[in-house]
Amino acid sequence: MNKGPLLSIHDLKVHFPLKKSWPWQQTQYVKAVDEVSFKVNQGEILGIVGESGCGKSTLIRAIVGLVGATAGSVIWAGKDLTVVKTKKTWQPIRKNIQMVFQDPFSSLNPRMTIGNIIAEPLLVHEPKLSVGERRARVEQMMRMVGLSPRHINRYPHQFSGGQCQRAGIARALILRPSILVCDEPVSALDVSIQAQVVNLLKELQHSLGLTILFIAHNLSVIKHISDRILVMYLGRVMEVGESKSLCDHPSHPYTKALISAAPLPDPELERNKRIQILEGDLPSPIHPPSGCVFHTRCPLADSNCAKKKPELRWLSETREVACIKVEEKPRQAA
Amino acid sequence: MSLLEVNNLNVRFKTNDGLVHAINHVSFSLDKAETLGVVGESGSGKSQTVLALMGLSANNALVSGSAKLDGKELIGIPTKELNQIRGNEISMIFQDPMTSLNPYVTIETQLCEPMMVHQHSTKAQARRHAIDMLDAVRIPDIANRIKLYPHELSGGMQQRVMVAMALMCKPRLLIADEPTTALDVTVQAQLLKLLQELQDEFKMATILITHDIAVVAGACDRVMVMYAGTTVESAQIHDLFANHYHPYTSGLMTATPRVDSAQTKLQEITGEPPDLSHLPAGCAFSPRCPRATDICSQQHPVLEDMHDQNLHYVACFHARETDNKETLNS
Repeated sequence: MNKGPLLSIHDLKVHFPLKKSWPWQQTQYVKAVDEVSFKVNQGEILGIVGESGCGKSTLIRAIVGLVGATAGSVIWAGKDLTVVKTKKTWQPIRKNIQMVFQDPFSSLNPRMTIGNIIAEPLLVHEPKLSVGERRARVEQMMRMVGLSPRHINRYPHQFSGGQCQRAGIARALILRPSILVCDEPVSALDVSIQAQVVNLLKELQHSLGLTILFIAHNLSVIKHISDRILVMYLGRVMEVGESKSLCDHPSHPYTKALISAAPLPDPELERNKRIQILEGDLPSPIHPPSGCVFHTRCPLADSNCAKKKPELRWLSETREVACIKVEEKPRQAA
Repeated sequence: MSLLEVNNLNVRFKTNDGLVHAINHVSFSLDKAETLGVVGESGSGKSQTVLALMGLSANNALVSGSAKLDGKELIGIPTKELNQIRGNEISMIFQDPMTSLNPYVTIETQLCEPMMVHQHSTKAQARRHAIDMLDAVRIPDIANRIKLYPHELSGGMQQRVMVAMALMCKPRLLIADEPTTALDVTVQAQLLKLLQELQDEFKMATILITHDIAVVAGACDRVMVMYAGTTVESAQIHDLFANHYHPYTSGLMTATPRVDSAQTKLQEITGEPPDLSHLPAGCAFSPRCPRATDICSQQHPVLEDMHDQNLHYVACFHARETDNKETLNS
């Protein structure tokens, strides 16, 4: 499955300027994404997890070009996507990188039929298709995501949330992209429907050889769907690793806290486990803490953590971590 | 005698598409200092049940049945009498702290209000009590925080303020409607721990509504599983997780992803929840149920005790035939 990186992100920064109260004031920036580097391999599902405000949505928006990057590069097929500026030059790239959004209702136009919504990318990118060919493609796509082609003339409000999300996935996949970017696609759905959509994405990954970037704030969902997981906190990458080993043996104190906070559906385990409660709130991304951004809430932190920014370094062949304290404590045998 | 006794509660909504059957024959009771978890997906009627208790159902709702708090009927009494109970003996925490706090009013004023209305205390008394309560919900730097407006606090802090406000009059029953759904997992863990500590401290009964069966596992004594406006299973927490007889409960358990499991494919429940204005003739779960037979689509199953060690009610015709282990392995 691993055929080398399909997408490599290097030192990506997205900083948003704040409005100045006075003209002579120095401009302040919200550092939504700061020095993020990672690679996405062909055919894998990479899960990005973090709390709200950690910059995971901004990160993927910068990758697909919906917000401009401040610095750094996103390399896809030998091209740097951060320097692509015009609509015309973006178009062939967009055909290959498609996105699925969080809220299935507000991301579909209520005045268009499902068939037209799914067909719209074809009108833009493959205008030479005949009406019949287009309809055939739409029907084939609907069957693939588990919608009945009989419903092609229905409107979004006639569908349930899970079905709308399937339509959103169909719209993203109709151009046969190589990368699918999903921004919290299951957070708005009920558990039973969530399981259906997670399983659908997993099937599509295998049948179409898709590469998927999957965002969620729920670590248990991420663990089920992804091959590798990237943990973010306050705009920076904390830990990257294979999903099973990362969840079973987390190294970074933040990852440990996230895993211990995820509730388990088992009263015995849930009542007896030690939850590592993180005190306090997320610090402001305008004035992030010096050194390691997590040191203000970290149980292992000492004075060194506030001085130097920890670099992401390789802990083992599959695990990268950004924490200076990790090696001091011997890691449990994996 | 139990603190809250709900008997045959029904809520219907009159709409242009006909009657929507939101709650059908729901009965349950709650003892003093007990925590009842209500689990179900959206549209299962878990919120409507408690809204009906609080007299907060929408204008087009037809509420019938009875709900007694310490022997006093709550359904159908005049608003004036209800107002003396709401916020005083029963209080509620809502899902979204951002929209349930008044953005124009400081936290201090919002916290003092219930005490001044219900217990006719002076502003100074109420303020002293408000500071105690904010301390109880572990808000740091209270002297400065109390003068702030809601938008100046983070989501987790706002939810703590909501909890403090609900506890101002020392209620005997606290209803928490999805209190952690809008929060991150780490904040959720903080808040659930806090709620448990406060419950031990103030000795109140709690109804915790959630869609996440994992939250219930850690926080509740008893669970009621709802589907399409009816109770499908109700049991002590340890009994429910050890033996669940209703196929919907097993479905919920296996569809919930867990961090500690190695399996990669989630068991899904096929199909969609039913339309409440056109409920299926028999059991509402029958169209999605793997065990459904002819009788399921013709008759309504009633809640029956399964005769475990404790009371364990299940509404399913096939509850006795199969136990959960079979469905889990299939």
